[in-house]
Amino acid sequence: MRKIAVLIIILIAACSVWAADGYTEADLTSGDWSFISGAFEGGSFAGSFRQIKSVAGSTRSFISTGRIQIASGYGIVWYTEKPYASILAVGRDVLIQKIRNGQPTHLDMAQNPVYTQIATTLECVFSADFTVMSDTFRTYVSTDGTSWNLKLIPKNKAVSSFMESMVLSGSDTFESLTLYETTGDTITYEFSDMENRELTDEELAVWSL
Amino acid sequence: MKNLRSGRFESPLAFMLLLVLLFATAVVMLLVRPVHLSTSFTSMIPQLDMSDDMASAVNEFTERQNSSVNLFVSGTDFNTVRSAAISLYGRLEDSSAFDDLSLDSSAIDAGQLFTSVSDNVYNLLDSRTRDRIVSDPAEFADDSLASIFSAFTVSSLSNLDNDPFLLSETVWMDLLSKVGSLTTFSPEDGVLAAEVDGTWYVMIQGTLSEESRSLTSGDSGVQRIFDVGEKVESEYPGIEVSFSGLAFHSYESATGAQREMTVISIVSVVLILLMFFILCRNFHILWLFLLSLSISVGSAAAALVLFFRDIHVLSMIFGTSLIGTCIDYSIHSYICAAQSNPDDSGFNIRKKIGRSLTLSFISTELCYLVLLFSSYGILRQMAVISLVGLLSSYLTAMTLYPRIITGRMINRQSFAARPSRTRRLPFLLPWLAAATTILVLVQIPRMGIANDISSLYTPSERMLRSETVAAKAMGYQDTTYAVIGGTTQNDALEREYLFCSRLDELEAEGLLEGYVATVMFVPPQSQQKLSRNAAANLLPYLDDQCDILGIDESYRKSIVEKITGDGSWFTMDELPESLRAMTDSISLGEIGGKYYEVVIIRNASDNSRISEIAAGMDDVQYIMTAKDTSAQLDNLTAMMLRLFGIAFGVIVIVMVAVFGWRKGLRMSLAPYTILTGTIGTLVLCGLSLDFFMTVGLVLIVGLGLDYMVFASSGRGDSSGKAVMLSFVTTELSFGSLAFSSFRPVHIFGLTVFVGILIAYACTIGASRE
Repeated sequence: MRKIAVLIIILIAACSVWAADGYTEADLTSGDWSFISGAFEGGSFAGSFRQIKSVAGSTRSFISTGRIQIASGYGIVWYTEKPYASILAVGRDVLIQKIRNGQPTHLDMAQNPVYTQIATTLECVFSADFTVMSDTFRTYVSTDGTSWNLKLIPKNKAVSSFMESMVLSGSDTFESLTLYETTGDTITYEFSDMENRELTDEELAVWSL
Repeated sequence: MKNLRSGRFESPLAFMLLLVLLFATAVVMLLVRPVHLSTSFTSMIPQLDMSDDMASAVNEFTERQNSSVNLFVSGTDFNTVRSAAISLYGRLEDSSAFDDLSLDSSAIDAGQLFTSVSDNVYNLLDSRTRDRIVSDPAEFADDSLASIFSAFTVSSLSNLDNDPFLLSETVWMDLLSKVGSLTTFSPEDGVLAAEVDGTWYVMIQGTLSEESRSLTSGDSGVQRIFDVGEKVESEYPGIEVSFSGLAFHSYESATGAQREMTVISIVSVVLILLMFFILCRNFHILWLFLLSLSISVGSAAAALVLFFRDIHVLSMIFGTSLIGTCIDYSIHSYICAAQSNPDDSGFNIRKKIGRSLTLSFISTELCYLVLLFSSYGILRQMAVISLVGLLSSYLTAMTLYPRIITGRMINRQSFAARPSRTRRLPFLLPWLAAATTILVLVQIPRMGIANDISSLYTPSERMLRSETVAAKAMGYQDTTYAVIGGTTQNDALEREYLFCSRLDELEAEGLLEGYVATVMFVPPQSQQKLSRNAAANLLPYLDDQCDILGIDESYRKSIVEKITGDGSWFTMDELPESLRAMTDSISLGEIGGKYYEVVIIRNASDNSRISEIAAGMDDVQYIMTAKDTSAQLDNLTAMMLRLFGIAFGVIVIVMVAVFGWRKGLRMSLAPYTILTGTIGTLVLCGLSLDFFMTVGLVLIVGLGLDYMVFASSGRGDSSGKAVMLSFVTTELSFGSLAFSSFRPVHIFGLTVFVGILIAYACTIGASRE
């Protein structure tokens, strides 16, 4: 009985925290939040990103910029251009990494359940698949009428062991994503010039590296 | 022998004292060192040909496997599967049947793994990363900056102060790829789950307590799992509960064998009693039989307690065969009394059959002695049971019966007492011997020693289905393993590393689908040293790197110290709990002054290549349980046949010494005919000359020879009737084993059934002699 009481107190406290943040739990599949899904074009798209990595317990942050491509059926590719060039492609069962001018590293992750869980998570976020998103996250929304923040807390323990939460922000378009790691580190991606288009064969060639 | 003839071997006192002493010692031994009744399926397997220390290591690993069980709950809907698994777990959680039971194993705890990697990153670089650093450290340093600024890193940047070259990224990637290859299961909403072809599997892992594995225990953990599994299946329609682990097979085979033996023993005893009542018209022979049997079984059990710490249930089952031998001596004594003058004393009766009893006793004991020299523990237990049991029966017949048997206990109207018509057949034994020789010669192309341990046990439909589900869920069907020894823990790891390097080559060739080894997570010190040496190449770039990343100077000294200092080694103690649980099952620790590690190899398609690698290394033993055990049984069979040949020679010499050249040699035709006839018939029926058939052959020569001895001891009808009754009782008690579904027992029983039939035919065929 005491355990249940403690649990209820913790739950109430947690709800209060979200409420204080202006977030309310939201059922994304209900249709009430179509203005959020409208911010996502769906399908394949490409644009630019600015990435800010902040390290826990330190004022240091690492800022880089580059291009991002989300290829439907393939995955997400980050082309980091400044200050150091690198390519990272995250597919559902493959991880491709190319640092500067080095040889690409191609890792078959099909047998790695933790990785595939993470890849699926990223894919559903970027493709705004609200059904999968609701299955894999507890979802909270805060909005002031024009802009919105969508907070995702992973249900899966494998994912939650490294990712505490994820916050997607936008207005008419999807503008930023912040990843809160369990270590206290954060990564923020700010997107710009996003355009919904089919990717060229040349752009898709990265998956054959 | 002279004493027997003169009747001076009269006092039962020495025998009684011997029995009292034996029982008293056994009771003391039981109090001091309790006996363990083993039902394990694997302990039925003979020890492989290897050093004692290595054998101990293999036994230790086998024992761990025996206690380890996996339960799989499967279905198409994850939430239902999860609920059913939680229900199953809840019902088993508090059971004393388990030392350990886990539903939500922290198989891959990223947080723990991160701390472990961060603290030891300079010791853990894999060979590819080491080569990259050594070939161009400047480029590696630049690449690490690119990684830090790249879109995503698997490792956290929060340890950059201690790891400015982000070496943990490569270690992480390496570890993730290794861990991912080990299991298809991952933590999923509080359970360990995997999805394969649209079916969800939730796994519960457990370690059975020693008590719960025992069949004698009232609370068998295995039975409890079966019962609870059935309940969960009935409560959650569409859900299947499957079981995987040696303990389940051991339990099924042992309980099945016990049940079956109980039925067979009861039926054969009832039939024997019925026959005696019909033929003797009173139960006096039954008292003789029960006296002999209780003394024999009691003394055999006491001897087992004295000589063995672990007694296998199969040995006990074999002990039921004592019924056949005990009864033989009682029959001969009773029939001799029935055919004698009613006023003859017990001592006079004994005088008539004393020599036959002694000869048959010696010849049978000689055959059992062959089993005693076997390196197969269970067979030695069977030999002790038989040797001691038969000795007790013999001494009972020689010392107690003369005081019990009197002419008045015989029903003179019964078949046993009635004089029979004498019908002498021609001397057919040489013809029988010639016929069986031809039979064997015809079978020679199909004949050869061949044991196949995998054919000896057929899992039940339920266990077969369970193992299929487990293999599908786990992603592999076949595992073999290698045991690797070393003088120290690190020495064992060094050897394991070398062995695994060779396995990597085979994996690259597609000859195996991976392995599990401690060195995947804890490299030996030589590799850790190489790792630090490689990292030292980055030190000239440390200041620049720290400046770019804004790392305080105070950290730089500590980094240099970690790389260049003799430093501490990364050991198993520093592994995160989740990985530690995995390595604990394969790191056997110290056994007999050496340290042992196990490498589990998955789906190897070319075992001979792995065997070659193992054979080329010291203290490495590659175990393919089924194949190795079959080969070992082949060796044992060959060895037993050789010993049997020697025993046969000794028997011929004894025959010649007792009966003279001509009669002795002609009588020796009998065991020859029994052997050739039995082997020829069984091979004709499609059986191979295997270990269990050889055990049966040993027994039939011992028992079959008894018939010849009694028949030749020449008291005409009395011996003929006694032999006939012995034959029927032996066929009932031993031959009934042929109905067992437990294949070793079935082969043994069938061999004895055919052999005794031929032995009786030989006895009739030699009756004129």
